[in-house]
Amino acid sequence: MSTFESIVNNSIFFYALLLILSVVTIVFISSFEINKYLRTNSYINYKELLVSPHAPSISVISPVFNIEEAVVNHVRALFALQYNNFEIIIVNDGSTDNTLEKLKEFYQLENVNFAVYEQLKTQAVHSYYKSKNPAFAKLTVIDKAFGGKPDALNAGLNTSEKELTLCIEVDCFLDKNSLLKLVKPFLENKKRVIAAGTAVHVANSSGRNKGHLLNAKFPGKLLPGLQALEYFKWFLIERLTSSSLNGAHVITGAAGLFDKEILIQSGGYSLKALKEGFELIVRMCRYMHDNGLQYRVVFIPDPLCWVEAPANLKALAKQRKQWAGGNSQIFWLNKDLFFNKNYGLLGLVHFPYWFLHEWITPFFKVITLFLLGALAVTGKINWEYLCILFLMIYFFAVLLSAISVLYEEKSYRQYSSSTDIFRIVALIFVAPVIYHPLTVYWKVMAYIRVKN
Amino acid sequence: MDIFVSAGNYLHDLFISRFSAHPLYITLSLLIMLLCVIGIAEVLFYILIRRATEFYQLKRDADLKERIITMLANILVFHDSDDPGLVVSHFIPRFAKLPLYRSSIRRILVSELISNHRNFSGRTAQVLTELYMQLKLDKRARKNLHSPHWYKQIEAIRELTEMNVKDECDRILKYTNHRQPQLRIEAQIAFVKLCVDNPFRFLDIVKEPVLDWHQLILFEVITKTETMARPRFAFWLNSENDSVVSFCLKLIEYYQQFDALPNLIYLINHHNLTIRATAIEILGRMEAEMAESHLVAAFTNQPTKIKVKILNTLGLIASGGCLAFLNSHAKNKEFPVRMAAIRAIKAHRQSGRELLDTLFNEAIAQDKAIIKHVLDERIKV
Repeated sequence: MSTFESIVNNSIFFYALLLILSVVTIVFISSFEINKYLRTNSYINYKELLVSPHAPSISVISPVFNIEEAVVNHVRALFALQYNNFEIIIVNDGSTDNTLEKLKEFYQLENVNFAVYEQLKTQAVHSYYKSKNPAFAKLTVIDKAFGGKPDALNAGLNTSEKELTLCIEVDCFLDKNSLLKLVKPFLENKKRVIAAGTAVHVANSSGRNKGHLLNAKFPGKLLPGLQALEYFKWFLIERLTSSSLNGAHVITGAAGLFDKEILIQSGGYSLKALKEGFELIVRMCRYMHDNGLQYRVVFIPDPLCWVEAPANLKALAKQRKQWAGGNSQIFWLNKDLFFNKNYGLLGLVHFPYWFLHEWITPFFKVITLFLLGALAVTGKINWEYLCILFLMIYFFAVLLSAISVLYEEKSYRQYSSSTDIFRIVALIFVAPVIYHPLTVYWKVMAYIRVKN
Repeated sequence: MDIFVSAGNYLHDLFISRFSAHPLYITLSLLIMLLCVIGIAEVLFYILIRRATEFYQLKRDADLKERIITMLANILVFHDSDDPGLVVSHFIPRFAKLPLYRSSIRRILVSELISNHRNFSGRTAQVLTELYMQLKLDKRARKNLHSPHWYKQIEAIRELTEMNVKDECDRILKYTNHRQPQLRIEAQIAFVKLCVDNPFRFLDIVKEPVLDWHQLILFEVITKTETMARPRFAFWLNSENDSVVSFCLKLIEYYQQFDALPNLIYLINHHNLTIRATAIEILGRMEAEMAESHLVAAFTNQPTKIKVKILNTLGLIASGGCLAFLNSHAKNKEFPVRMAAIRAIKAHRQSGRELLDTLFNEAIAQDKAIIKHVLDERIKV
């Protein structure tokens, strides 16, 4: 074996070992966390919160854009949320179709004189609407010029007079107990909770009616299925660990509950961020550190939010490239966080880990492939050793997916039919071969494009 | 078949014959790979076994549950004049025939007893408690109360509370200050329910915070238990534990303990902003006119959030005595203060409406918008 080949093989092995060890640590922490969470929550009854006059107030803000067919059902689903102290703010972000008209007609809206404390700059707001029907008193509709989702959310934040804010995406289905479960961390922590996120599941094959999810079914198609499996890993392993270490983990744009005061003081949603949820959380954490305030960012593993995952390669590639571009942007904008002890674990552990995991690793994988290609062309490769290295990585990836499925099985068991289980098990073995390389490719392409 | 034989031979060769001849990284890779394969098999096998076991247990428990429900239904039908002890003695032999040494059966019986106890009161509840005690089902819960595991202690506390077993109050009191939050709240709920004579004794000893979540649950439990002795909650307003103060404020409001108003006024200057804000809010909801001058005096040096609370409170009291003060803040440079002042003026009904009309005529565009906003009945805070 040549020296060069030995160096390449050794670097593949030791880099893989480093990643494996970090992931094993994460798995152990998440295992402890999920057991603790499930055990503690098995004693919780949300009935008291549901009827309590002391429950904190919440604004549910949902930006809508050109969804005339779905908008009425979307709002209807929000009205069905179980909570006694919340309002719904729908922001029509310059729709060019009949979105606003549909809302006006169905919810009997009429123009009101709204005075807004404009703490965040947004595109011009044309008008505010409230319903003349008392049954819809919780609803406020804002009609504004187009400015994009973050701008619409900021307009909603300006209008909100509640303590907490749930920012959601229009294509997500919320569990009817979402507010009850998301509020709890804000009430049970000694430190100030600035944000709470929840696990997201893929709803592609699940039954739905009028904005409600009827039954959970594992996606029947390959791509959504692979994403569903990936979501288990992200939410039940990575984010749970990050939350337990009080990391500024990504609060998904699909559903996140925020402390409105801190959100606004941190500057609200950024109009330039490609991954606005993550960028916001990092900024809120920085704000708390800079002001010497203790805080927590909490993740709850309950499957409260269901989304439609991209069902074709083109859409998935676009989504992943956007996320990867967003990561790059956040790393660049917050480069002073790296190994900065003033930011505690955020600077010393979380940020460097994300950078290693999200940015360095994909490049390392691609560079390794090129080197191996070069070795193969020159005939200086030991195929047996190479296969062993790849098989080690493959089986580890399979094990990791299997563990995340085990967590899901032990905790919420959303997919109970045997067909679903067989499908999931089959995908565990397929994902590292066909799905993982694709995601790496998209990430690298996005990083190169951002760099350029 | 040949493929399997050759694969077997190759693996034997790789993992045994040539194992020591590999470079270190290959040896380690082989070991990691092996561990992963074992791990995958174990996880998948576990999922399979778990599902099969649950299916079997569910089927088995369903039959037993049916039998136990029928037995309990028989015991619940008795005449009003019957002595609970006698009723239980009559049925005990039948229950004793159940294989109660099996934990699953004991669990089902206890769970059914609890569920029935929750739904009945009076003599029926007494009969169920009597049955629970005579079958010595409390033994396990009492033992678990001393367990080193907090979740077992919680289960024990819940069981004893549901079955109204009151003689473990002192032990439960100790857990009301436990550092495990869930155990702490369960113990506090249990203590409030079981120790009817002095249910709030735990507030004297609790050093750990009564978290907002716990306050909310305790509040619901306390306010829904009608037979409970209610002390003067102002007694705890001097507690060093801020969360106890906060909790008692809510109870003072709920039970409208007007004699606590002077203590509440004292809290307007409390160092803890949350307590200060809560006290101010409650003064408003209790319409404490005597607090108006104190609120006005304290106003200037407060942060915006508290200023808004004070203005809201003045609006709730709406005695008319502070209209001039509210008027002076209707043009405050801080938007939230301005808005709160105008809302408070509006709460003064006729006199407020007149003042708002005057303000509207004098106001600049933004203030006019605020007044219109406040006057619009469709917009509720």
